[in-house]
Amino acid sequence: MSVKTQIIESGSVKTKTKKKVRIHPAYLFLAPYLIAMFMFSLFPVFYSFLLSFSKFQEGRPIFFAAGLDNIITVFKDPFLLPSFLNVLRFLVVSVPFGLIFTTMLALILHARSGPFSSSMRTLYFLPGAVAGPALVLVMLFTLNPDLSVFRDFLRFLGFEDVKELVNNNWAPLVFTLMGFFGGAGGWIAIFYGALQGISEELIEAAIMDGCNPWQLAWLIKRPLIGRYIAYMLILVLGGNVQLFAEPQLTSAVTATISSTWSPNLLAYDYAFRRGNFGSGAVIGLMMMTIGIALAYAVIRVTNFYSTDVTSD
Amino acid sequence: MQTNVPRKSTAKPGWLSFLGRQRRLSDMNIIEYVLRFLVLLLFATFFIMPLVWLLIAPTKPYTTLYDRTLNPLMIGPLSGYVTAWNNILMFGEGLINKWLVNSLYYSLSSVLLAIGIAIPSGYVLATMKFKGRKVVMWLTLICMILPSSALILPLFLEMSALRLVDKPLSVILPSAFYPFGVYLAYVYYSVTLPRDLLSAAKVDGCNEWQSFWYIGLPLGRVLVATLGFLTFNSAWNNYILPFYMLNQKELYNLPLGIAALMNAQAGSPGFLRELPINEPEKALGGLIMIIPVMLIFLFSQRYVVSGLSAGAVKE
Repeated sequence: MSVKTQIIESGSVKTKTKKKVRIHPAYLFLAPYLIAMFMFSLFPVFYSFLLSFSKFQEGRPIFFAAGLDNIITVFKDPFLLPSFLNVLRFLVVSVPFGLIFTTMLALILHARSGPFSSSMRTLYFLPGAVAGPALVLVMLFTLNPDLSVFRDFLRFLGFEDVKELVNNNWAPLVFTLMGFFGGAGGWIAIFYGALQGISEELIEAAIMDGCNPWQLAWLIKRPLIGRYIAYMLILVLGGNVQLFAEPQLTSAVTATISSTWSPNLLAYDYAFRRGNFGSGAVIGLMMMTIGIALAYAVIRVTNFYSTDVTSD
Repeated sequence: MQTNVPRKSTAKPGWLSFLGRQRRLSDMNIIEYVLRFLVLLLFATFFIMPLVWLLIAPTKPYTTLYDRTLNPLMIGPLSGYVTAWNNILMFGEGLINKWLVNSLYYSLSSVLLAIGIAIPSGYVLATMKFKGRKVVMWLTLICMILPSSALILPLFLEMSALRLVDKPLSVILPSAFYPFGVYLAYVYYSVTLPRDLLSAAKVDGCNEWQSFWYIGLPLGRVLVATLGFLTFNSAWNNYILPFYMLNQKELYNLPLGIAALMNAQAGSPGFLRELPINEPEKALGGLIMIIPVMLIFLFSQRYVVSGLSAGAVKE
């Protein structure tokens, strides 16, 4: 109503005022996205702050009734530190493992193109279709010395029972193998594509200048696909910190891995086994902070978004 | 008279030179050729043999699977698939059929919604100037980084307050929010859509809606395919969201159902089990979940890879 009267009152500048009042079509295009963003991302972030200070009675929150109790409960929890250490051990194994083997395989594949190279790439890529419970299922079969297709090899290594391999000690390697099995092929294909973008003249010039193969790979090829490696680092670090499905399912099926193995599992345990949603939300916030900090660090160090969106 | 013809041969082919550049067979000595072949084959074994085993497993009874004297890759009678399927049907009186239907329903609705939201948003961000554009871009980047599993608990309580828990919408709606897709659409339109084309359309009397409908959308076919593969893949395999949101087994999607099969009488020895859900049945369940996505992967490798790597492309 006020808009209309404004236009009528300022009749002399009709056209100008009218243009200002009209909603820019961009906002209409964006409306569903912004609503979804608010409902499924921004509000939950805000809500976890609120929940961290809330008490729960019969599943309903009483805001600010808990004070700092939830936070104190979490920090006094004897399972908190082990869960973080588990994820840390997992990161120490999985991130270098993934980075080294995917780049290595991409470089080796790229050394000679042809039907062998492309069929190998497809084979590596196929397990990418295996995720979640199916991935855990396949890998639990594969790591079981009684069932595995590699059982002779597992026995050769000295494993006689699945419990000797799938347990808290070996968990970082077990989850690394799960992630590598399902994820490596996609990254190899991406790196391979990036390597193909490097001009042959540049490589020839480097060889002329006396580069040996190691120098060529490290000084020429790696920086040129560095952006893709940084991208992998952001996603893999972010994803691996948030490990949930793999330890949850492994723990449920084998009972040899702790049911609070990772912080996200501990948060679930708080919410649904102990009915303490507040403390669950506290852990969620901690994980969110770590996730953002890691991503920010990688983005800063690698200058990832330098010339992207943010500069215009 | 001297010419510098033999440029290429100046680098001596050492055994590590395969790391260097694209080479012809003649450039490669036999050791590095064999080494490369073996390494690649070794990894191929790691990636493929577990899947081959999974494909074969339902043909054999579980006692055979555990028999150490037999080759793990021995193929049993094909009727094993029928037996395993009938056994799975005994789990909750054919629940697996419901899970299949649910999975299709949840995934396809999420895909349609996610694409319907992402494409206009990316188009707008790439082609229009308006107040708050930068804020939306920043929020998109932040939401891409925000770990969804850390947000799942407040999301669950929000859905519970909206009385959507244990309803399909609690899984479909959050999956439809796909900031990476918006970013992808933004990058795509920034690269492929010439600004001149839009100005020309404006001169010809197109308004923003018509420009989008007649120019943006038809140009975005590849984008629709890429987004479709990515969102379908993640929705089909989604585990943590339905794990929090759905309690009734009738509402499970396939991942939750497979997890339920995996847990069926976990730990109790075979002869004590009430249902014949053993390794062959679990393997068949896994195959049912894997095969549709794997077919998509096989036939659309290019789209999937281009979609995945687009996030790293700078313009």
